[in-house]
Amino acid sequence: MNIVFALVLGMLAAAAVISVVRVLRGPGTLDRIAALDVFVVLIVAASAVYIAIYRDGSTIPLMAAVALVGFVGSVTAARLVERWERHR
Amino acid sequence: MTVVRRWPQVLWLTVVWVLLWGTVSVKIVVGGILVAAAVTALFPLPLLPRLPFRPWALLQLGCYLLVDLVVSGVQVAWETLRHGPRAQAGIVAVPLLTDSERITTFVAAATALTPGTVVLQIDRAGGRLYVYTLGLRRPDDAARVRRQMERLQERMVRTVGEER
Amino acid sequence: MITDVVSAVFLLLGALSCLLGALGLVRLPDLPARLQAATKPQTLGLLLILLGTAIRLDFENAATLILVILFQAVTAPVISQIVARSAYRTGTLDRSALVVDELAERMEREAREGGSAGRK
Repeated sequence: MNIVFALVLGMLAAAAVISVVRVLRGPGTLDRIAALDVFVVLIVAASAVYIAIYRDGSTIPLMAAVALVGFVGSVTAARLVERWERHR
Repeated sequence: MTVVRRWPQVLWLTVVWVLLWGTVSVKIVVGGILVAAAVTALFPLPLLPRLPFRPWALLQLGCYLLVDLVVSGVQVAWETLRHGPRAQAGIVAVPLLTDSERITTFVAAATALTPGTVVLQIDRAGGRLYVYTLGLRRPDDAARVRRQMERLQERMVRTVGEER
Repeated sequence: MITDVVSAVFLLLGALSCLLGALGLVRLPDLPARLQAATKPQTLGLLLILLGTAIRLDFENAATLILVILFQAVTAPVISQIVARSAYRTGTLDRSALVVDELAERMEREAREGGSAGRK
């Protein structure tokens, strides 16, 4: 089971690095927002794997909170971009 | 009064509260009802005609969407690996089967889960959805997307469509 | 033992799906296509990972995890919807690369007829 966890965490870490590449490269603000949203999902996934490893559910409410805050953040940012462009 | 008329929202929020606590006890349930009632009273949502409750159709829709999610995950992954930077896409016009705003909203949300598609624009006057589709190769693939969307809409109407 | 195997399969498939989604984010050519990669494989991956985790927990904690799954399933389409709409409205969508563009066909027809009715 340890090998499985190592593999899973490795894949998630690789995915996180790749999505950060997209955040850095852009080119548009919306690309960055989409990539950051993926990053938040990966954080939630990684904390789920932590829970699976230690069978400790005390951080589950935190995961729910992070998932929801990430959602609100992405939506707000996307709307903001739209407004900027309209003022331009 | 606003709270009593919105009892489904109170019920739903209480369920979420109990799930967040993870245990069921009298204290938690009562506390949940109080919090849910307070939230509903402070931030009332507009009252809509109540959704019909059809558990069987809802279950079918849920399974259909789940299968769609798996298929679309695989399809998008395949498109990424196989074509990568040369992936192709298109915008397809799909006729709307209903003029209900609520069903259109649900259809648009479900479209975002189905294989490679997302709704870009809704033309209500013309009764059309404009659907962005990843992985279109030839123009006749558009017919496939239209068929697929038609099935989704039928399912949605069967699940949450108003009684006539 | 059996739960271990099932959970391992779910976790591995989920992580693979997340990884492929992230790959799509860098490999695909334009924003709407990347958005497909950002929402679908990610949602699927998170669902699988959460399921794989829920199997290993007792019922109380698993119930809360189901709630997280629900949140994700409800919010992911909304995000892709709103970002796609913003992309379309701000003109970041590269239309020349599209195979079919029935929206442009309609907009052209409207422009010819001299009216912009129905376009919001």
